[in-house]
Amino acid sequence: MKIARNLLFSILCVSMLSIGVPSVAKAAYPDRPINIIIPFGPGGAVDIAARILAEHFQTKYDITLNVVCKAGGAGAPAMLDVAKARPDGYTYGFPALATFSATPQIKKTGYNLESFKSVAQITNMWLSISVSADSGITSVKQLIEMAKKEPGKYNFATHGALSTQRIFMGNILQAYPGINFPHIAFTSGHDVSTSLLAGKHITAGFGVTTNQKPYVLSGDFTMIGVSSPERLPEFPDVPTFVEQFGEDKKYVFASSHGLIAPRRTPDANIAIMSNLLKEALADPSVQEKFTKAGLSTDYLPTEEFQTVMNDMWVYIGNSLDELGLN
Amino acid sequence: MKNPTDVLSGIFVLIICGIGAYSISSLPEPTSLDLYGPASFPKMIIALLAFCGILLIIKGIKTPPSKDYWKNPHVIRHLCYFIGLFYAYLASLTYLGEFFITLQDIYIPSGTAFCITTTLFLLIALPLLGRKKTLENIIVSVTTTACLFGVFGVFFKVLLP
Amino acid sequence: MLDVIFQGIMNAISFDSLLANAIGVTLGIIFGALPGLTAAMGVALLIPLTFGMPPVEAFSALLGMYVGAVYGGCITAILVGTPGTVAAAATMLEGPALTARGESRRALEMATVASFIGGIISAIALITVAPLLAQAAMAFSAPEYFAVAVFGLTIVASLSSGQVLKGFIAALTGLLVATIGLDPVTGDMRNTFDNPNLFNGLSLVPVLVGLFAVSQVFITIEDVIKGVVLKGGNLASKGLSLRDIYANTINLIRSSAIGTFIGIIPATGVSAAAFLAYAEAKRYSKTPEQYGKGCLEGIAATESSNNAVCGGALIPLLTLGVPGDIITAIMLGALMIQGLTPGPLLFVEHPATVYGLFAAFIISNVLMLILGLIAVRGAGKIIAIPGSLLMPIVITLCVVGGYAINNSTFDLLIVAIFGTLGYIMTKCEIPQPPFLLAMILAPIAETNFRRALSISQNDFSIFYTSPITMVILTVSLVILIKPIYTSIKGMIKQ
Repeated sequence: MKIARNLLFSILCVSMLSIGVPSVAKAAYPDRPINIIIPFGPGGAVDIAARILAEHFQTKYDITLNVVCKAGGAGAPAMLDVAKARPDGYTYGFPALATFSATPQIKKTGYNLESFKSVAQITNMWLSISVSADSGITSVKQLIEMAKKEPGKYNFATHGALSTQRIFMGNILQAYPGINFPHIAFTSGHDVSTSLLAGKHITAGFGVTTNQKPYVLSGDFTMIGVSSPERLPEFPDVPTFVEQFGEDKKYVFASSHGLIAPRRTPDANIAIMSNLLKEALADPSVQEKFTKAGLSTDYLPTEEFQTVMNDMWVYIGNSLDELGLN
Repeated sequence: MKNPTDVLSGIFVLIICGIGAYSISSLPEPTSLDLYGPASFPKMIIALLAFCGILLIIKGIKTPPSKDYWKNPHVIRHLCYFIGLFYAYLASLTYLGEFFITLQDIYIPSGTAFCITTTLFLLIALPLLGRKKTLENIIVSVTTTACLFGVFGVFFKVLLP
Repeated sequence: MLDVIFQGIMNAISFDSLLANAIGVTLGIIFGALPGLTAAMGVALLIPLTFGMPPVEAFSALLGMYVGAVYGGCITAILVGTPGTVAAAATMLEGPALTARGESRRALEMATVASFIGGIISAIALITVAPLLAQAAMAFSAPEYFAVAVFGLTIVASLSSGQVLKGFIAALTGLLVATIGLDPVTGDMRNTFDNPNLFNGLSLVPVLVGLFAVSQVFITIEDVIKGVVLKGGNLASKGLSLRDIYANTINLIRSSAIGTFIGIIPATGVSAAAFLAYAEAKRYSKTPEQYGKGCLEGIAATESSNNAVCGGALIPLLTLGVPGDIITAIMLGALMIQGLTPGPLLFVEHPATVYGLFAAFIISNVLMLILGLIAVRGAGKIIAIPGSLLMPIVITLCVVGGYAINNSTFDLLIVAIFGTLGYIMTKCEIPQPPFLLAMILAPIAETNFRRALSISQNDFSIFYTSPITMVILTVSLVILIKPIYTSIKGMIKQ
């Protein structure tokens, strides 16, 4: 009896309160906080990038960006959230396109490429492979040839069993049939660098330039290959994969990260968001903060980013097929 | 059967082994490259666990319990009401939150489902545990919910359902 | 040289830095105490606020949060029986029993002092021998990690004396549950039942909150229903005496050393250190049968080691740029934003900042001691609140915390299931700590075992050619056999 009375009371209170809730938002977009869901843990490079942008949006345009970290599940739970979210332009996802393309093509996740629309690219990371400085190896081509001659003696490590780097290396190794150059899976980029630093069992670490830069600068690592189309200005001595293996699209890879939206989001809102990002990424103070964090600003507008997304989906799909991983 | 609790625990353990065994039966066998594949470690654990489960059943048959934990059935029944309420709270929190998202035309601020369900939960739970003063219950429920919402939803900007 | 140190210290004790530090510690203690809010979350939330600050000030805040949060978990662990953070899970072994005896204040003060001592000892290690220790940690590769994880798992045997069989069952179930998710080497999905939420396995915080916090709420509610008043309504007047601290000197030093070393080894966890220190304290104790019934030594061991991990984890971070645990990994990001690239170059290029960081860390520990002792006075009032009022509030806190870690409603299901499971386990006399420990250590053990094999191309010699590995594995075997042997002897006698 007491319980029923309390229940009734509270229902009355709540219904009285909700009368005051505004029903339709007709003001200019955006007039409420926007949620950016990232499939990474707090403190990572993407989280930092998102927070730099959030701070900028808040101070410059008085728009609140909520950075929501939803790590785990190879990105699936976070992207599923974005796919199922209300398509009103107030929820976006900020994934790494490579993982985004890989997970749904391996296992059923409840979403795929068609569940989303592109908004804009924010940053690019180049894949880089490094060896210990005292190993004397100067190029990845040299390393692979050494591995061909002595099977099983050399190996390379990446941050995960299904990492982009492993897939990319798989593509390179197609030119060397029968080679035994095993892949060692770790759990994060930091673990890879740690192991390489110890120099005991790992010959090469395959990660991104952002993570490996400090060690190259301190002289512990020699970077022997990078996946950019031309040599990077910050690493003028590092040969690209294209230089070493030939002019083929598959030797260039940019790990693209950008904003995506649920499929039915109105194009007008997406265009506004994309323009805001363009201005933000061109702002010198934002660029400076990105550089300090080891990131670069690589804005691409909506259509071009959609092309990148589509291409990446196909590239990853084909690579997974060839590696037999799906 | 001297210790039914232990025997039941042992049987439960064996059931878990069964579920585990079924689940990993679909995993690929270790390839020629590795001695140990994805299924090896779980298989080993399940084998050991099954062994322990059987031992537990034997122990349950032979040794009497040291302390009877299930002494007061009516207390436990009352607790089950609370646990049921708890599950209902979580379910309503989840589904109400999802329901609000599917309402295309009306905008409901994030955290509404949380506030509603938490207040209701507290309002029901407190009398269930014996607090009779209605006014005090209402104040506690509303204040707690408000504090939680304020700290997590507003200060830390966590996206509550 | 001296002037650089001086400059660093001046940076750390400037008013802004001290204020940042104090705010960090306060927030940290609150975060630590609230179940479901983790130290990692706190540090991550603080980082954007530190963007504009100069490096030493920013890190004063971050280190304060780190130290405060790792400590804060013990408050709720001792008073309410629900651990505020993973770090405090081991404190649960002794804390609630001490509160039930009316000695909550003594326990809390010991926890505070022990945390302080742990932090300071690790700070000394950080300042004096950081590069040396870091080099030693670098010797750890896959086989060594495997050995360390196995060693941690054998602690299970010593934790469940008298219930060896049930302890094993709990641990084995923990191992099984840990296999849910992506296979670490091949990438296959294991035990996921096609549910995307399980792709990465069960998230640790919801399991912790459910297994220890929610189940404890259920058990306390039984008492509430029976009408039993929670003891300690008169917050124990008996506080910590200097004699208590003195009696635990060796215990504190040993536990802090364990914590520091575990912190140095990258990718090992805080709770492993706490449980390890507890087990070692029990082994060396003159009164091992007291453990589990409310023993101050246990609190001294767990709390000093978990705070010692903080300083330990900073060592590889600053000297090698390699984070010692997940929180220092987040701090690595913060360092990069500030333009400081950790590694050997850091000491050469920014010595003043580095010494400032050292000083800030010590100050954080001092502030934690002061603020902690103050908090303890007030926190005791919490148990004055009647259980029927407190328990529903605590459980809603658990719900928010369990949700907030991953913004996932699936995690709420995990909290509920493990809460029920934990309750049943307690009723069936199956201990919970082995489950948690197994769940944390299993991935490390299995992953490194298979990684070692893939490095050596299935050659087992990689294990026995490493002296560190063999030593650790042998010791583990010895520790494991002893309780089994005693238990079997006991069963035969019956």
